[in-house]
Amino acid sequence: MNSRESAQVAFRCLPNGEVVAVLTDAGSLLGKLPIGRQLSDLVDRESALKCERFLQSACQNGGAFNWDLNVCLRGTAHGMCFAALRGDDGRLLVVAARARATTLKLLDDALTLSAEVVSETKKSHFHLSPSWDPLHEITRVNNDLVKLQRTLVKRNVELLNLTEQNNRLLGMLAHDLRGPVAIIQGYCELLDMQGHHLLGPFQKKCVEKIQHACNMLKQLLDHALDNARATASDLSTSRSMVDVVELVRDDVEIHRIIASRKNIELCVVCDEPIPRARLDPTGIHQVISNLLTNAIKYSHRDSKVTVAIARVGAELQIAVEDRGQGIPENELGKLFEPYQVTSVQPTAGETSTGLGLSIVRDVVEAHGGHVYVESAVACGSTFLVRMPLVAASEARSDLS
Amino acid sequence: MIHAESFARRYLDRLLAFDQQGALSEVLRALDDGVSLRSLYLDGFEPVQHELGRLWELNLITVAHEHYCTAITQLALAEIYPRVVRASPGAARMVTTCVPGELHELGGRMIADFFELDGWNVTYLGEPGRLDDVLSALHETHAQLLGISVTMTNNLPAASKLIARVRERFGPDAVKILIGGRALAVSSQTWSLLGADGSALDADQAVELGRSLTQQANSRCRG
Repeated sequence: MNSRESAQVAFRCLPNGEVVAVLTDAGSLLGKLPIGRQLSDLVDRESALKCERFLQSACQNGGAFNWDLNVCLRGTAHGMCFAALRGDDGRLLVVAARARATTLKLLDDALTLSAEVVSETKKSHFHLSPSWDPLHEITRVNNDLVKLQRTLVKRNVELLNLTEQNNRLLGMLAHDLRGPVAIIQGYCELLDMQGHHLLGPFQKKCVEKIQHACNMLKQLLDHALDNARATASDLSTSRSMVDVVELVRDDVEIHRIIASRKNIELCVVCDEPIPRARLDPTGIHQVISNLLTNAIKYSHRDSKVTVAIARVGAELQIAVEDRGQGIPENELGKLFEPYQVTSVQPTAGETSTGLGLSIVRDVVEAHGGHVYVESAVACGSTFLVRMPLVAASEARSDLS
Repeated sequence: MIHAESFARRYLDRLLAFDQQGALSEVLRALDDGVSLRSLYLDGFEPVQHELGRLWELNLITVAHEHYCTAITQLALAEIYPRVVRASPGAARMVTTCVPGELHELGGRMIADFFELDGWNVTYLGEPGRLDDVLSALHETHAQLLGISVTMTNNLPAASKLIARVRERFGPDAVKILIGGRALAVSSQTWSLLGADGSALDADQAVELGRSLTQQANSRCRG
């Protein structure tokens, strides 16, 4: 046991705490408190007020027991249990030790040794209670556990965020690869139907193998989509100056082959010059491709899909309008949520995962824009995308 | 609907009655009833801890009882911590710490949680084994801000030493230093004498000051 643990002290003092005689000082606790000094000089600053109350309580009540005060021992504060009894001469007998049980025993010993006159009533204040010496170590262990728990929770949250992001990226990747696969399938069909007489046996076999591979790839992508669950809250954008009209025209051209299966006419309308805008071209491609695919998927044969580009104030507007089945009003609210599928069925048995519009919303919002839908059952739907032509952060830096 | 003040009363009653489950239920009930996390800390946990300190000073509770109550509050903070973490990968980074030997970690932990609620990415050290552990954490996390919590006045020299070591290693601007805790209440100028960049009276002010100190440092770097 070190001197800190064995520190014990017993002394007599005046009601104001002035030490008049030292009875015991194991561990040289009173080394710095010679006769004439105040008890408050022994305790640290945090315990000064409490020390005053301890003395008051002992004087007023005839005794004070089980007062925890912090004592400065070699520059470090240590909790000690204090007790005091008022003698019939008004002076106090004060004892202190690390453990409560030791304090009480010390008080008992001091009473026996000293000439203090203390009534039996005052002595009856004694009641032994278990020692709590390990408190200091328990606190330390608890603090360590708290830190470990905190680290664990933080790592867990980070892992959940990463998993969410990975799933979302996987979902987006799988979804967006379906577009090009569908186009390859479409051209294969075209070759099969219209160029059949031009192909030799070898070329026909090649087309067949490409079709087979495309079907397998599509199944794998569907499977990956099914496994992608949660949605990521943040999409990073990589922006550059983009000619939006050109980008839209390219996308429309790519989708013509899919539209031609249902004899759907695709047209682009742009009646005014649109300035180049700082956008993420891959993201905008995703937006247009998803909106076009949906428009074609839910449109009837021999109908028309129009993509209109316009400038509305400081915003760019892209509107994709179909004359398809429309969406019931009560289903519009959840339309942009991931994996939401409406009651409206594709017109040619195409599949739907319900991810496309959530990707559209996320990309548009990452550009500081919004996406809306106007729809009427049996008349068709128009999806409106609005994005600032200048990114908000650039607008701020321009002003400053 | 209950308010944070009435939560504080009920929570304290449960703590003083050694009712761990009851105390934790009060916390969850307050959150369910719409008390915000910030209010729970500022108007709930903080005044309750001050009241426990006052009761200890009056010798109405023992040190063991006070430690028990603090441990339950630590448990409550652990319970709600998953709702506190919200830092994104690009968030500003900070380290919060006590000094070696300072076992009163709760105040520093509440400050750490408050910064996390504000979107900071906080590395919480609690009581570090050595001052070098704090320097390593600052270096490894590229933290811009160090928050030091000191409860016992006899730990102020260690805080002063820590600040000097941080200045020596990182210079005056790379890491801004906030210091707080009960030990700082002795004088309004203690933080300045210790060499810190600022001090705050409560967690709200600490976050505000931390933001402003790091913004000033960033604009100086850009300038």
